[in-house]
Amino acid sequence: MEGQEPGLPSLFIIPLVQLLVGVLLFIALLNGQRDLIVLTLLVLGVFMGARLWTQTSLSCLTTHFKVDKLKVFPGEKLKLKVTVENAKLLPVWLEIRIPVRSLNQHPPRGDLLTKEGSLLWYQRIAFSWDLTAERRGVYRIGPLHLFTGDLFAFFSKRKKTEETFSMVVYPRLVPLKPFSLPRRDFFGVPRAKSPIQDPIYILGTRDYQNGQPAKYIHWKASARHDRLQEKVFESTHQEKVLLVVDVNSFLKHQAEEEFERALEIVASLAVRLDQQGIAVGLATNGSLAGEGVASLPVARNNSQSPAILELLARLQMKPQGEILDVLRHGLSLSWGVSCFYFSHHEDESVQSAREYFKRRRTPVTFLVSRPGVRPAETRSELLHEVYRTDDIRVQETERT
Amino acid sequence: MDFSLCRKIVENVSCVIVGKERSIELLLVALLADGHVLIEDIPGLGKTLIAKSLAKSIGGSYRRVQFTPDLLPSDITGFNVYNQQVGQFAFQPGPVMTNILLADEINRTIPRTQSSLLESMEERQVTVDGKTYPLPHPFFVMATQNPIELEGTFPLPEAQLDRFLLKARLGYPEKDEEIAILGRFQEEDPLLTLEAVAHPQQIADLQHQRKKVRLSPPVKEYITNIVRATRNTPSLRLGASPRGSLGLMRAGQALAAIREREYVLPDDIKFLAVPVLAHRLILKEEERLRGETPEHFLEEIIRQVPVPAPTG
Repeated sequence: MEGQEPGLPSLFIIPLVQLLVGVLLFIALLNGQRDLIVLTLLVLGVFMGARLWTQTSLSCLTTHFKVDKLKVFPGEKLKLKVTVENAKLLPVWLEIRIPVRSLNQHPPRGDLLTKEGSLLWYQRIAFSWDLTAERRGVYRIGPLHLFTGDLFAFFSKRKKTEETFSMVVYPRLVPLKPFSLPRRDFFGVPRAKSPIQDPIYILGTRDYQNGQPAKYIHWKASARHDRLQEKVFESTHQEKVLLVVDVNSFLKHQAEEEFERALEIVASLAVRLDQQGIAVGLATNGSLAGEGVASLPVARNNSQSPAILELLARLQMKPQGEILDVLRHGLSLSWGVSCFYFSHHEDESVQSAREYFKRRRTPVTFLVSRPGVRPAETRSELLHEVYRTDDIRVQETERT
Repeated sequence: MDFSLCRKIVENVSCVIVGKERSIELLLVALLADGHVLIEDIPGLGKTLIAKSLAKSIGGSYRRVQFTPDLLPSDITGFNVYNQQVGQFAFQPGPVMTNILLADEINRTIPRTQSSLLESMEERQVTVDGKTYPLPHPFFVMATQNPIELEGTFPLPEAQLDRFLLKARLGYPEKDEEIAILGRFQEEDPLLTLEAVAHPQQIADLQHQRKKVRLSPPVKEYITNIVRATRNTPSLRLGASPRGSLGLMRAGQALAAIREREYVLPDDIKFLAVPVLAHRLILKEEERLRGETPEHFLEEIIRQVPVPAPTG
């Protein structure tokens, strides 16, 4: 995109001044004042030259726009670099403007990065900005606006590149206290990695393989088959955790700070569970900055943690329906999944969620920013514990 | 040194596999370098087909093992069976006794079984009940794993990944290639009519000749510079080991042989650096969470490390 920038405070673009110079030239011609004629012609010549200069300033000018990191954690630094090359004989003045807008805020708010300089013939210059990611969210960097003109900066011409970058600032990862997963079984689910070492679940039998320990021989089956049979064990149980965030409850209490803190814990929990080899997923009823669905099915793969972190970075405190509807229709809650449920208050929505999980026999731990007063009969519910989010987070004072 | 046979093998495999010359070359590199290859890709891209085609082309024996959680080491190496007629134990060889072994979904089996295979790969022999049996020569393992889902898997530890000379990806075919695949397989399976263009002894000879492919000191230094740079990259928790340097050197010699040259070029090293080194690198946790891959940093290193200037 190219165009003439209208708003520059250059003296010569004011038609009145042009008119004034023209009138002066006319008077000088009438009176035969040679010096004034030369002066006004000189001024008009410079004026015309600068305009022609500006007209050609954008030709053979190439830009390269690059950001070294597009996914960062709060506090991390990133470098934005714009390289401009002037592949012609004519030197140019230039100004670069790059808008940086947060897509998580409505209306989008942001800053403008600007730098000014000049380029000689066949010169290449790199402009760079050191930025620090401060707040969780998605930021659109660009498009790049390039203003060029003559070296006096009398006139300018604008070029807008189509290139934009989306920078994702993940939620901060915070240290968490040791915690136990919500369990369905009284003794928990066995977590031995090897099925051979897990003597609980026998899948069947097969012919005895030489070298296997004698304890694996299934004597009854061997007697039945008249040859040695050994036990084949079922693959060990894969623990699955679904992190549920009820965005509605945070909006109801206008608790933006608590929302951010809760997301930090959700992110840290997701990363920790993934590191422990536990399949993890996310369900929220919030809307996302940009496109996509704010839920991710429970899975275990290399891209699951980055995907959850990106989803949390894009999550806005703007609900799209009720969280229970998301759980009922949007995301199937398969058997064997445990839940961590994040809410602002221990209110009626938590009660409904508790009922829902109780009906499905899904073990769940509630983490609320501000606990309320619970009825006495629910306190003994071992399957549905309620904690404060700060109970799980290592506080600054504890860290020091 | 006559390496024209390598080209014939590549062309022969290409009669079945459409548009994957780079992948075929990489497999042959691993075979000539006397290494093994790990193919990480989704199902249906022709991993089994490429292995079968290569096995048929070199006229060797081929076995495929589908790795499952209940697979035992003896299912791979073999076991002794008591023969009642002669009153002695007889060795029943496992699928590892072959020239080309396709270890399908290697990460689905327990570490104990994985280790038994990886030990055989390294030692070129198996020991059952105290008796050692040598593996056939050439012995080449193509292991596959699915990169998408880790549930119910036992990921190979770094020390064991290091045993693979290179990790390759087949990738989806281009549109034209996919049309060509449809045409080629429309009436009959070209694998059925594929003829051998070599025999295992010729491959063993090629492996021997490969060792004589020249490596100039600047190219050796180039290999070392790339490997050392992986150890100094801040985003990497662990760089490549000297085994990585050796692997890159052998792979470079093999690629030069396939391209019918008696010397290694820096371009060979550039071409092979990612497949040979990427799986030996470990990212820092924050980089992993950013969704970065070792391949990305390795490509950056290759861009930055100066290429040796031609001499003479």
